Amino acid sequence: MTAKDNLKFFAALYGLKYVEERIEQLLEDFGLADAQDKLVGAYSTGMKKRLGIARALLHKPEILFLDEPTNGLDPEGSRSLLNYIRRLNEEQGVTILICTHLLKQVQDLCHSFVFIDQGRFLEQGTLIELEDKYLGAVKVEVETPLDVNEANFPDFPVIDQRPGYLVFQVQDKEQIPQLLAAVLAKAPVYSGNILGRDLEALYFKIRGEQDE
Amino acid sequence: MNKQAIWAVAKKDMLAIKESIQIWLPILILPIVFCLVLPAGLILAIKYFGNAGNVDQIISLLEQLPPGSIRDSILQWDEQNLQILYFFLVYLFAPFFLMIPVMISSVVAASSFVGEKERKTLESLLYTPIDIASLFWGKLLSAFIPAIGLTLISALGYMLVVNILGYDLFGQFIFPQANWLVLIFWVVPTVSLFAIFLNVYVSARVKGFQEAYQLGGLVILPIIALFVSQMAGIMFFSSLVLVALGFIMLVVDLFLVYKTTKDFDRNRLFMSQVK
Repeated sequence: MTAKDNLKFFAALYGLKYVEERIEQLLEDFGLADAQDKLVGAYSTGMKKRLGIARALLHKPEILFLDEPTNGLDPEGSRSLLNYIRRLNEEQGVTILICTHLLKQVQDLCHSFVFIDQGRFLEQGTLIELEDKYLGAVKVEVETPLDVNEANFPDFPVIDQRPGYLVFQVQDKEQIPQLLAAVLAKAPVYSGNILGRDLEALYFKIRGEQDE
Repeated sequence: MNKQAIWAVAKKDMLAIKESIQIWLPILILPIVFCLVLPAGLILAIKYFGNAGNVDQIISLLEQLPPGSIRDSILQWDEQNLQILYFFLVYLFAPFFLMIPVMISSVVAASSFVGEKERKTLESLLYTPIDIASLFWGKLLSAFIPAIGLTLISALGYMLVVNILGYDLFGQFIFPQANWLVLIFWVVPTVSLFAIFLNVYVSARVKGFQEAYQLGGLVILPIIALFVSQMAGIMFFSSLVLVALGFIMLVVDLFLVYKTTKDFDRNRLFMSQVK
């Protein structure tokens, strides 16, 4: 079956009528317009995924469930698919629920996160909320030529170093400006970066805490 | 039940048949051989060579026929050759027209759900809002329409060939006959439905083509054998017997509909594809 026939068939199953225009629009949106008369069997994995999402959008749903949408896609394919998903949300206001284990991929895409383990709810929140709750003692990597021996701040111990960088430990995010001011008093600062704040690190913290 | 969805499923599956030569070629060859080549050959053989080979057994069979309308209809012809020809054309060939729809519907129906499973398309089908009954009816139609359509066409072709080629010999058109009309329009649909229901049921339960064809064939073959052998006999009886047979099949069909719709829900169908 061709992509177009495929969409027509599913439109009929959804009970939709007068779908020609909608189908053409979707094929256009998902970059399949040129391949619309090709057999779906000859499609690449990425094209099949895009067709699958186009199919799920036929009836203009308000909420979309996606299970591992980028599974089996190459980096380009994943990126363009994630961009489609983002546009779908921003332009058409579709709520999208993505089930995935690729945390890095969705970290910047999703507005909020729910962690589920063996069907059991663990935690939920936006990245900021999760950070506030789980980040705890913060490691800050500061790009500075300051010598480690001079970086003797009692509140902010140095826990790691590499040429041009020092890693300090602070109690929480609120202390970072004080740390930076202290370093600045002695040497220039080129950049500062909180370590371990990505979704994956938070995930392990959340899991670790639940296991205890 | 959702008419639009039923028709969409049926149409999609019939298009798939059209696109697969492995399916439609045997489906076409069988009716052509049985309905056109065989009767034409038989009529022409008798017309030009005067006999159809060793016919002693058939003659003795004809002589043993019980008195009744069938005996009369055969013995209305003076020549022995014509009696034999008439016996073949009107009675012995009839079961073929039951075999054709049963075979077509078995082949198509056996792959109905299994085809979706093998192509991994059943899952996305089950995600749509189509109700399971509509899905089943779509699958049934996709086998029923080609089976009945081809049977009608072959029966029409057969009657035309026999009428035209046989006119010289019999001096009249021998078709249509009441028995045949009952057979084609009443027994063929009900028996086809029976084969389809069974095969769709099996197809929905098993995981792969092999199982479907084997199981479907296992169920169908003895039934075909029974029917073909019995039909030869039943055609000796009246149209009334055929009407009754159709009714029996209809009751069995209704039971199978009930059983199928009761046995399958979305979850069961989904699990049947998990390997």
